[in-house]
Amino acid sequence: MQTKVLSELAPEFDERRLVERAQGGDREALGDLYSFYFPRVYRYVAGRVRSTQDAEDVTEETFLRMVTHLGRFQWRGAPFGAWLFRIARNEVVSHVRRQRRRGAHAQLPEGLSDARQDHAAAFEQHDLLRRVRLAAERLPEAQADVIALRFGAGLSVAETARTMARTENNVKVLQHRAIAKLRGMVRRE
Amino acid sequence: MRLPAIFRRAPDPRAGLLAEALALYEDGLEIAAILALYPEEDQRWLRPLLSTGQIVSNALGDEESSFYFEGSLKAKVLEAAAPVIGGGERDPAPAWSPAAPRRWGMAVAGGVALAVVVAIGVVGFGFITAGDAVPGEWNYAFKRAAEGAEARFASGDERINVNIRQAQARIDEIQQLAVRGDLTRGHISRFTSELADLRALAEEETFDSLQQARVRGLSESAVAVLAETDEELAPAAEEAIDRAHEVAAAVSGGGAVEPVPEPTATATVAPLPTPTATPEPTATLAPEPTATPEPTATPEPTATPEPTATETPEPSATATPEPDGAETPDGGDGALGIDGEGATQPLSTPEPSPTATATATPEPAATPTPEAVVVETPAATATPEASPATTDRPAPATQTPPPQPPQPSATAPPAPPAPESAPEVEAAAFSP
Repeated sequence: MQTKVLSELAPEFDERRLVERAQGGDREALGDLYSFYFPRVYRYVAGRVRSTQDAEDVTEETFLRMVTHLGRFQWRGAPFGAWLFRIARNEVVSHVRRQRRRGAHAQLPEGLSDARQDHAAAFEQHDLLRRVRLAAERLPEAQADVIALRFGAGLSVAETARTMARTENNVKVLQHRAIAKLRGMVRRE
Repeated sequence: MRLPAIFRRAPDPRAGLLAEALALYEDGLEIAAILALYPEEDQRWLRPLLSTGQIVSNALGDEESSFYFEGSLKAKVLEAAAPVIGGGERDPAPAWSPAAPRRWGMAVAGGVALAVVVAIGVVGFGFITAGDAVPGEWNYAFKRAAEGAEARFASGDERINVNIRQAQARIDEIQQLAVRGDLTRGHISRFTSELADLRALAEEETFDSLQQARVRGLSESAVAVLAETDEELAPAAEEAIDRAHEVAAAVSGGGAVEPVPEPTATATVAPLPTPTATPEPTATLAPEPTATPEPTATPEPTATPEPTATETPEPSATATPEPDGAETPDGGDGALGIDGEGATQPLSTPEPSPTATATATPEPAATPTPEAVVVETPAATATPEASPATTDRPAPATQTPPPQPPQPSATAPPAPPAPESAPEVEAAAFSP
């Protein structure tokens, strides 16, 4: 598990300073923020939607929305990451609702990842992801969010709580219930 | 809003333990090592949950997007940031705002005001320094503009003065340009056109004596300045000189320009009688065509006499000395013989004679007339004879004719006083 507190992942990463520079129009700072949050946001989204294509679409919407509203972001106790994941979560929710209305079904990934040479391993990975996604779909919204944020984005319980605007205890309970449900579904799959 | 503690459900202790165990797993501990930290009772329910967490974590955590997607999205994000977020590498120029036009307006107005001030300064400086400008200098246009304005607003007598002043300015410019070697035909023709204006003016207005004197001075300046021009410019220069003479004549109301004749005629006549001895002198007289100023002219010249007046004395003085020329008993005027240079002087000298003329007039009113005929150089030789004849000797006439022709124009004037001087001149003339 690579879930760690952001400050631990990058001690030199002064998020506040970066955000302020990005708000001032510093493209380099914006690029750094993007590079730092993209993998996390993408994994979170990938854990909440049915396909890689959907994950890319939602991720794109999330970052474009971030850029649009970056100027309005203010430091009010919540870190920038919490604000960004809230955007991602809203996008995911909107996407999931749209898909439910369309009655679409999850599809297997269209293609294999470009950087991987081991196609068998890649296939296993995609299969595992598919099963988790299918299982997560059956979870209540809040539990699915906690799973995606905790195991996809790698946020800590505290960060997840801030992102979801819940208490840490609440997040722990949601996490416990979600994993208990997934236990049977993932194995059964 | 938080519920009071009594309504809050106590967190499930297992949820806390699971979160703690997952945190340890996230820190890198193996599941077995983590389970070993808990009592066996907890290990039983914790083991399957930790395994599920591991599967989910591996499934979601190892998911990676394609490089292409990550890269292209980054480009999109940065591109989208340009218009939304300010500053950075973008042009720092402020975005358009209602205040912008006002700032631009102020800047433009300031620029225009500055340009106007500079233009006024340059124009003012140009007019102030244009007085001595000559063609080719940056402020010459200002000089011409000022002259144009002056001529446009002048009227009557002042108009004449302005035209004379401008013609004089042209000749001054020509003189300066000639010294620099920058003189061109255009500059001379500009002077010529000024003269044409002056002449046209002369037909409409009457020039007073002072203005006439100025015009004559202008004519003399033109001769002095333009006589030395290059061969290329010679035609234009000659034309200008001719125009200058014409204008001087027109302004004076006729032959006034050539005061020369009168004097010679009358003056010479008187003395001639004595020199009769030498026929030659008559020859010199002939060329003097100066006679042209015919009788009528005589009275007018009196106006010009001013200059002559001063000179007159000299001739008389010199006359006396020369006479000793031994040849002529009278000796008086003959002295003028002064050959070369004296040429011009003689002409003037006669003028002074106005006094003399007085005396002369009584004698033969006829004398003048004959001279008039003589005026023309060629015929001169013949006519002169006439005059002399009238006076005393016819003989000289015969001799003079041949040699004289050449001298005419230039020397002509000097000749008049001739009678006495004649001897010398002719001597020279004959010799060759």
